[in-house]
Amino acid sequence: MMFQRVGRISENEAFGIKYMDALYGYALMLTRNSFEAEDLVQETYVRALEAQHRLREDSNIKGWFFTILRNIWLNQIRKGKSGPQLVDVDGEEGGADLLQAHALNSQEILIGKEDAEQVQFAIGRLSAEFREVILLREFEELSYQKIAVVLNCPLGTVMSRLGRARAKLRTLLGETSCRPPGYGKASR
Amino acid sequence: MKNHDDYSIMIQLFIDDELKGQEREYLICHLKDCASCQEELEEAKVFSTRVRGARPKIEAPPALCKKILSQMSNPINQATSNLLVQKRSAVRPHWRPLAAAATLLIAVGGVLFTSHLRRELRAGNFVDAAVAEHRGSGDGRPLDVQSSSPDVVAAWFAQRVSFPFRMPNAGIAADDRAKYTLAGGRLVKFGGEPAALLEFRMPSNRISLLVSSDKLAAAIGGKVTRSAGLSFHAKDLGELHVATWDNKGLTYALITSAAMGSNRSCSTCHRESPAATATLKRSHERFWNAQPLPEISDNQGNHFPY
Repeated sequence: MMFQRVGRISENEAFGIKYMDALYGYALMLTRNSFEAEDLVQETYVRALEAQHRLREDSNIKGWFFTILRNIWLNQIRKGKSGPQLVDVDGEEGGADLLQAHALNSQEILIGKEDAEQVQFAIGRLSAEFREVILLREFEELSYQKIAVVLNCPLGTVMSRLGRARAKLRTLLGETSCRPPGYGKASR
Repeated sequence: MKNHDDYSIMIQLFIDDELKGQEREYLICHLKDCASCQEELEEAKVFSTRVRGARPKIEAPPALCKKILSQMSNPINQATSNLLVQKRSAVRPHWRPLAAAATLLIAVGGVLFTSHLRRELRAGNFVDAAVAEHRGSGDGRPLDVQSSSPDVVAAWFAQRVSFPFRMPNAGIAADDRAKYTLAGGRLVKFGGEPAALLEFRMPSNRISLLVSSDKLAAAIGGKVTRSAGLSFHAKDLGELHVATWDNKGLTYALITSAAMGSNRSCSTCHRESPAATATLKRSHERFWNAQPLPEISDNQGNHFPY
């Protein structure tokens, strides 16, 4: 089952805790900084607990948590607390940081999985907007509608952005597949 | 009549399970007769599987988990205290002075207990952060400032942290008996504030030292040894040796995997001198790293731009 429906939200102790890893991964992608990511996830749970009573029976908790996290992050950017923003449109830059953040976590796991490394490397080279929509769709398996809610944009924008992100990713994978194994690790 | 681009979009929607109703049926019918679209569907499936298979298995740090679970337990505590407030009105008049005294005692006890818990939590989080940084450094993360000069490293941190940073490089660590050398440092974050991580190198080991304000961190627990007016808290976490101490508004956490030997003597990190050995032998409260990098003295610190 892709999403968990709200059944007994009074179970405070475990409320949304199962999404912590996914939220932390998303926060890492947004902030590119493990400490800021931790703060962001922590703040997300604080806000979620405060607003828990507003959840409806049919609410989607996972999407709701992602939306809260992103809104907090955007507010932090507006206040000037966080540096990196989703401003690079379609560049080749900006991916290295994300890759490094992911690489630190995935290093132990992905040893020997050359293809996964190549895909991660390619995703790391995508623009921030494209990375975000790929993460939400392919990694977190959110529906287009849920992604639209998280990103606060029309459904059509999600579809077109996802389409362009995939096209770009295909192109990049065509390039990275020619690279020697372990490419991109030198800077670690 | 749909063109090839329309089908391409529909195929992707189909894979994402976003194609519903008649449109879905239409595509399924079309796929039966169109080899090109069948091929495109297969390619798109392979691509999607490949991307999803590359999902990094990121795990939130255990310390973060602990913090959040702790936050989640707060509303329950709050509800309990609300219940106490509601029941207070039911106490009979002649018991009220005693009840008030008891309530006061409970409240004071509660405050002290909460304060102790918070301090323990800060101490635990600080050690967790230091251990995580020590392990992270082992992955080859570069240092922000690379220098064996304490002055250079101290000046670098002094401009970047919000507390009066002091290098712990006086005393036993300052002379030429030290077996380690300062490699540099990295600006990290602890408790939402910048903190300093110093790295020292030994021939076959390294030492990490996390420094933060004692408003955010604390040294507590473990085997306590008092030396030179400071309390050092030592414990082992798996293969790592941890020592924490507070001094003049700062908290330090030293992490190393260097084997300390059976007597946990200073000789692990410092070449022994007759004087040092004599001093240690006099002490009944020996610490595995008896004076772990004590701080620079006040007059030495004056030339740093605090």
